[in-house]
Amino acid sequence: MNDIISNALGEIIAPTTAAYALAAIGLNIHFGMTGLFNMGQAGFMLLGAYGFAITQSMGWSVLGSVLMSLVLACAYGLLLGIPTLKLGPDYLSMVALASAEIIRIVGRSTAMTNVTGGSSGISPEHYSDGFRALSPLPEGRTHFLLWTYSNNVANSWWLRIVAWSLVLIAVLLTWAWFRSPWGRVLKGIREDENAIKSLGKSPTKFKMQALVLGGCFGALGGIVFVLPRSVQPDSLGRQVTFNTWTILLMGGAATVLGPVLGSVIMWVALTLIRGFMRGVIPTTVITSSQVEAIGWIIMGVVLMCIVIFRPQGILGDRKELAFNV
Amino acid sequence: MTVAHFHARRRASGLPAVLRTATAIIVMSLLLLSASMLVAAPATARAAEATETCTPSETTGCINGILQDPSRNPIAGVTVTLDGAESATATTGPDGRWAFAVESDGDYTVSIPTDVASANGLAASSASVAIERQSFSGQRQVVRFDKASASSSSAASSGSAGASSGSSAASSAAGSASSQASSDDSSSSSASSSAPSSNFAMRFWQQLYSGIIFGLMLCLMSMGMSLVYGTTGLSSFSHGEQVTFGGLLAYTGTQLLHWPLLVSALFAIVAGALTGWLQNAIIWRPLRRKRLGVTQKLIVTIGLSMFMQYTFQFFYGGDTKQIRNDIDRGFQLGPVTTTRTTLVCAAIAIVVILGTSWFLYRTRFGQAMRAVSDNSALAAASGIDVDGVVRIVWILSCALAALSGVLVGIYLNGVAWNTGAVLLLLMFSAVTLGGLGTASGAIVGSLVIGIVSDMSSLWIPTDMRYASALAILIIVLLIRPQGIFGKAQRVG
Repeated sequence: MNDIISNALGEIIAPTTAAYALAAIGLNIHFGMTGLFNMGQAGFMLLGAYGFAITQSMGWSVLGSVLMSLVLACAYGLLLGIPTLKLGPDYLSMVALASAEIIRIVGRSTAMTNVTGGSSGISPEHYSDGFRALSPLPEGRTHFLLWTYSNNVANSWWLRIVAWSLVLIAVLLTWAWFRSPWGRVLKGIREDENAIKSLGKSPTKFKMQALVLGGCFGALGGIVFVLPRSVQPDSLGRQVTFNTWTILLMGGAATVLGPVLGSVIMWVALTLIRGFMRGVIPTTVITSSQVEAIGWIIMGVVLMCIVIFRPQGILGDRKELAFNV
Repeated sequence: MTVAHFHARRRASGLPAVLRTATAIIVMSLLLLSASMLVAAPATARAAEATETCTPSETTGCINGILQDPSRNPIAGVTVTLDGAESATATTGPDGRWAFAVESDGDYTVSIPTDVASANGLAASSASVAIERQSFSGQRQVVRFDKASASSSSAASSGSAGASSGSSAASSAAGSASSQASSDDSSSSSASSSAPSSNFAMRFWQQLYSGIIFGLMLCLMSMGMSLVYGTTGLSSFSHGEQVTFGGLLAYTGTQLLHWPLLVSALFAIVAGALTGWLQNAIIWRPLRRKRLGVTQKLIVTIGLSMFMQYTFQFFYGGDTKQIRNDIDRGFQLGPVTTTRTTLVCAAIAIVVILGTSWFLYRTRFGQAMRAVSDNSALAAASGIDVDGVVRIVWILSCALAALSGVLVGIYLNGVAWNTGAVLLLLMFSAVTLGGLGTASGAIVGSLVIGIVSDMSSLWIPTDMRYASALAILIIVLLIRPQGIFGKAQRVG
């Protein structure tokens, strides 16, 4: 029982939680600030992960690889935005969804095995060494509060520190952007595009900036997501986009801390539910893959309930509801 | 063995208890027989094993076939040897069937004694196949010793493997023998790079044919989706799960309850229609009352889709479920090879598509439906019961989805918890391609998507075929955002 709780609390600081928080912050810039209906955030994440892992395995520096990921995300954002942003919201969502899927299908294709490793992906020893080498921490394991993790290897303290620093920076940036004149234009676009047009601003240009910027956070999230595991195209599929949406809507769209809170709640709750069911219900009644399924069934119901009963999420303001796109 | 087994079970459903007991005894003895056969076959290898039937999954690949002489008489009691990445031996059953379940990817050689081959006038005594468990076309390989040319039902043959082994008669038929993988790849054989040009023409027609069949199945799904979009403005993400639902219920009917296929199919369709009604009553009608925005409802469908998908996984597990046990034989129809089942599925799809179109364009109710999708406020003002129309649309759409699930499950020889989810994007593409919300557009869009995705595997790797269909969607949106049949109007 103690294990279950400490495992669940461990999710508060887990790299995956941070990765989802970053992706949701990106999505918040798309949807919460600008009202863009991006259904392909996982595409940005996967592209970022591939960009990082492939250039790392080619021997680039860590900074170079991260920049490469961001460049890829920018390029992808432009490619998505140019044809769709002038059209209705349905078009961006459809094209983003389809493109994310194309990236995944091409990435997992056997024809790409030399580059992306096909469906089995890229294993971490090819790309995580550079990141580990940057760590100032001594080798070994450290116990802090409830948790013991290795300092530098794989799912490490070093990764947690970097990941959550990124989240902190992202939160501070979005906080600043929400207040800036630029952020106000974005909110204006969300509320009434024509009003912004009449003020002499180009909504398409601003939407494009938001799409690219949010996509960059998605790519960073993708890098953090793959560092403790391997780059597997199927683990960054449509489901990840849906999870990110659930996180954003649960925490509250158009709020600064909503994505972080949503991510923490979602992963703690999932781990708690699963751990509890594994601990309490004997495996003869429910197998462990069924426990996994139950977690997602509950997430589905939660998503429906949030959208219907509390569309502003936990932290959101009903008056600033971003659902009138 | 499986056929007899299956028919015995099928008959059992409607018969008195005495006969049922008798059938049970027969089934038991068959099982015992197969078990004894398993014992007789020494497992020389790590993981490969001879099985009665084999269902491919993420971890298991299948190599199987029916040993028969050129006049299609089964040859029983022959030892079939598997070598390669794993090895095992099996003995053909009374109906000539044999199957291996293997647990690693790689090349395998299947052989029968040469004297048996020559005595029965078989074209070859050994064949090489490659198993790739994660790939839809690679997870099951069917080997026929009686034919030198490849044959399959729904997909092109990948050419004879004879290029390397001379007279070997490996025909890696995907088609009816393959089943929906839990990954995205669908029924098509792998494109062999060294195929000669005459082979290309053959594969061209075969892919075109399977593309049309696939397009017809897709059509049933996307028509429903398009109707819902037309009348309510909602792109339903849970429509894929409605398809899966139909397939899984048909599986429940035939395999768990031992009903005849037709009854199971009807059961699935009726249950599908019921979920449509239920969904409308429980979720969509109250939400319409609440005046929830379309975007919000769209996210509700995402939640619903997650809920349904994992509920299926909870109850049915992660593997592919076969609706029918028997694999029927392919025959030549003009330039393509097909099976009776495929033709029947296609015929049903065509009849239902035509029927639905007639319903939409020739009946009063269809007119009302189109009026609602044109302008629901105006329709309401002219006395049309918009709520009633929307209810019928949901019922119809879910029933069509269930039917398509049954057909797809039979055609691809299996349905898994995520079959519909895999097809969802293709439905979206088809609907958008044809023009959002128009039924005729959905038909054309589906056929285009089906043909493009199947034919693209002539040039690009098979596992990228869905990507080509999605690429078509993006290109069309760039050139003609309203779709092929959509009305040109200001968007955005």
